[in-house]
Amino acid sequence: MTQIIIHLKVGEVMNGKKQHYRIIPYIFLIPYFFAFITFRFGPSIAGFFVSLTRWNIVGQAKFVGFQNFIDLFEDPNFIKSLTNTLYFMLLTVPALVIGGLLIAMLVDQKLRGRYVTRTFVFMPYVIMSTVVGVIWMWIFDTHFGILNYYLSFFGIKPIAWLSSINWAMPAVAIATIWWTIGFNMILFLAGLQDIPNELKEAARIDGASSWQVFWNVTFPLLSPTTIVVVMLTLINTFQVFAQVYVMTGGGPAMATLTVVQYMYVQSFQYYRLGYGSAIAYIVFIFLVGLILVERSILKKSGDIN
Amino acid sequence: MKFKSVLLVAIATVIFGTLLMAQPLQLAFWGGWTGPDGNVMRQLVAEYNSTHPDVHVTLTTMQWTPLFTKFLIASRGGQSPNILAMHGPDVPEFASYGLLTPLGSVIKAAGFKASQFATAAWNGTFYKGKQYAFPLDLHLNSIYYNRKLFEKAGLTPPTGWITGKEFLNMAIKLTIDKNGKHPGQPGFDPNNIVQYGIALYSLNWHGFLEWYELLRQQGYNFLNPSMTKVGYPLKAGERAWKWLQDLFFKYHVAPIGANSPLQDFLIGKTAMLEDGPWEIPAMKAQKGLQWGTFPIPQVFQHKAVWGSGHVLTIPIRQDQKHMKAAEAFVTWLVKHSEKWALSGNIPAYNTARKFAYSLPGRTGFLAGAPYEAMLPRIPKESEVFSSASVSPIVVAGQDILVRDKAILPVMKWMNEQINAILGR
Amino acid sequence: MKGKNARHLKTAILYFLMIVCTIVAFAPILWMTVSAFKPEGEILSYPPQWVPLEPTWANFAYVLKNFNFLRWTFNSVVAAVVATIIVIFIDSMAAFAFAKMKFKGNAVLYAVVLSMLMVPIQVTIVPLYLMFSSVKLLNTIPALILPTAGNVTGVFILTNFFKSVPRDLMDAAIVDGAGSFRIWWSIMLPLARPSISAVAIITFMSNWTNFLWPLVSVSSDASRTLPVGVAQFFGGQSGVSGSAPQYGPAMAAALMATIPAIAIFLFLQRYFVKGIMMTGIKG
Repeated sequence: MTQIIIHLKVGEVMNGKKQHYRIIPYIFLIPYFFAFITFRFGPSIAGFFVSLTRWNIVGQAKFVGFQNFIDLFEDPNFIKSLTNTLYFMLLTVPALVIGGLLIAMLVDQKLRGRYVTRTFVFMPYVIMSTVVGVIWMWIFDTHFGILNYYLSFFGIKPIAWLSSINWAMPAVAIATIWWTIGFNMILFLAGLQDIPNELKEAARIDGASSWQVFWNVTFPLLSPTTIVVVMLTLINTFQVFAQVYVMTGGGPAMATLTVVQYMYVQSFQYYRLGYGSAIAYIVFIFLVGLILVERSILKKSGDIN
Repeated sequence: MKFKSVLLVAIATVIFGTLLMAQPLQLAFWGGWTGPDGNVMRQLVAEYNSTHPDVHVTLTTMQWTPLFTKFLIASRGGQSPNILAMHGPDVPEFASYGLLTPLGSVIKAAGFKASQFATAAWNGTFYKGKQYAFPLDLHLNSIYYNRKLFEKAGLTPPTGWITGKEFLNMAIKLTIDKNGKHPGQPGFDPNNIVQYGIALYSLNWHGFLEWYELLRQQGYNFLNPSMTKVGYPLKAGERAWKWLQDLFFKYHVAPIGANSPLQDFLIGKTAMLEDGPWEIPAMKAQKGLQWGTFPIPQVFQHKAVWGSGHVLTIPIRQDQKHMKAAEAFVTWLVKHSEKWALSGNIPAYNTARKFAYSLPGRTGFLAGAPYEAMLPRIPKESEVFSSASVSPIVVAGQDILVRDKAILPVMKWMNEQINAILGR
Repeated sequence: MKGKNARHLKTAILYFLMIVCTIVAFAPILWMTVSAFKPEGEILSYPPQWVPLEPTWANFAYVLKNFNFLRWTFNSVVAAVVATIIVIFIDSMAAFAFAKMKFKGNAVLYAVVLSMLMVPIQVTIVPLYLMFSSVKLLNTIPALILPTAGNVTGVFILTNFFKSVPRDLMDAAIVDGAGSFRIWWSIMLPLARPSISAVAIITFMSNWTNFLWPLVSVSSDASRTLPVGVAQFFGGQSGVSGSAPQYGPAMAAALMATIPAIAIFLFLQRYFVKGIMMTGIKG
């Protein structure tokens, strides 16, 4: 009853200040949009125009239409980089999302030492990519790496982690999970903290088991966070670059060549900026498609719930 | 109170202003020396700064690849460094973009001439008949050896060039499986080798360089004379790859797919290592390692070894004052490049090179230097001879030396790819 | 009795998992830390040596003496802190508008913003460089701050959070006569404390570890940031013709570059405190 009354009142207030109401949202948006258009949107659009040219940064850009895009689909390295990237996502996305949630729930418990664990799990995320690469190159080294050393206690023969075609991508995936899972943990933790405790307690008083509390209370209320995390994880893993660049450079035999890595090589090592930018825009198209699929799936599962 | 603060501000402004006025001319010097070699260069720069109070040189070091990226982008915004180091084979690319100042007359005016420098280094400074750089040093492949492991195997390390056969025999004696057997002996177990003869690069572009020097040992060039196409006989190329491939897969003297040959050598996993002089500081730092060098084996008719060299360039778009100061600094640096030998690199300037003879472990490099073979000098160098994972020369090396693929098809594929890049 | 035992067991398992997570996350960092205290020739010992035989401060001393390390740290801290503050303000304002206001073009503008997440950031580097060069802002601290202000992640996270805030809370405030700015400032921001802390942490770290843009936009040593400065110690992939690796100083520099970021994380983590507004409303 009170709800309805309040809503009526709000309607009145809003109507009364109709002019005011229309301008205010834009005032809220202006500061951000100034930065967004100048530093993100504008340069990205400029990048799109670059993708229609042949340009080596130094000389004059030459307009070639969509030739770069046509060339790309006949470029076996590019196709390889795409399939590699999808394989990388398969290895990392489930672990990063589910693992991130589980760790967040763990350190959200009222346990002694939860701050210590939080800090340590997040710590890798603040380390620079070059350093992450060097540390893991040591760990994964076939002959003097600590991983093979400890595996040898279990009778496992030395694995050529970074130099075998079969193991290189899983090795990069392991390093990536270690490096970035703290990011997802933080987001999930923030989501969990935003859920009022009262709701969970109420459910518990009603006799719900821990699992039921999670499935019926926590998880639905967490869904805005879950959507954010899944989407960011998809985007970030599709654009995987730094760790590959440092650890394997895309090798051996292009086994770890990813799309953005390939784009970097073309743009900044071969100085073919137009071609590189075209790769960027194919990444864009792929990701938009991927996110639309993800959205429709989440929407469906939401309907069922 | 107010008066006092105004006075203070005024004094501060004056002091600050004079400091600004008296500030020496700033020169930015970029180079790719990220290791102990960077320290040596930094010391040289510090020496110059202390003896030339009117100029202040700042050295920025960074891996070569991002450094060149930065240079290329920066040159668009007029932010080039005053002095840029690069390798001889990099010169044509940047010169063809018009980013480097021709220096022929400056070098002449400084009193330098060809006869005062190592030939390969001097030749590495030209593009289309114009000189664009001061030669600084040479660096080339050589074989590092572990003295203790040689003694254990009853071998005396060579001091000069040896044949491929001699080299192979040594490598076999230095390769030991867990029962103490050598390759070729009955019961030798290639899956349980505890010590290898030699560490060879195979995952990165050095695999290609190891092949390239063997091609040159047969007297062939990689590209045709006009540098428009690949131009070596396939047979010769195949022989060179075969020699390398056999070291891995037939004789088992080199660990397959090693991702850090240097470290394998440092910890005594391998008794030899083929690498450049830039690793000398790492050798010196490794505890308990007794090491030395000798030239790479002469497998074919001629002596030849892959090498390159650092050169110093002066990018365009600088005012006369900075240009002159940069020229003076570079001239000084070349003349004082004696100490640069401490970085492992072999100074190009003859009088400075003499000092290198007195340093330990230089045998292999000094004996090899007269036979140094650089990569062809082409404007598309960064793409043709790229160290990126998609580079055809890197992929070919991995296919043959790591995956044991049939040589001829891989080589043909590599040639097609290179021709495509050259023809674009 | 049974229930108590079960609860003990559950707690034990949870502690065990926490310890496992901590060890797995920390072991590589510990390895880095230990290596930073080893003299150069000892770093590559095998089998692995978890306690340095001759611990030394030499690597740290070397870095601090020969490089402008404190200046890089200062630049990094200033750039990351200022960028984070800007982002929190402008992103939360925009997110509030997107989540809780009706206006023409809301959905379209939001979609445009989100779509930029999917364009790899590397494509913007050269256009950004030319832009900064034309306004003579290269080599300055603003060049290190401003591009971060155009970030998308913050808006995305906060919009999603604000959407989940029950309408009633806002309505009550409107009834009380609060304007939009008041609602944003005194209801939305305090409510979103955990989310805003998360955005702050993420923004800070992305600025802190950013490499490519600071690499090209800054040339002078005085305005260099830590990742670019520290890159001076790291060679390429092993063996790509160049310099011998220098692991000791590299690890010492990396360790020192990590500590301020950890401190910021510990500081911001304190704001993960539950439901202040909720209890306020109830009471």
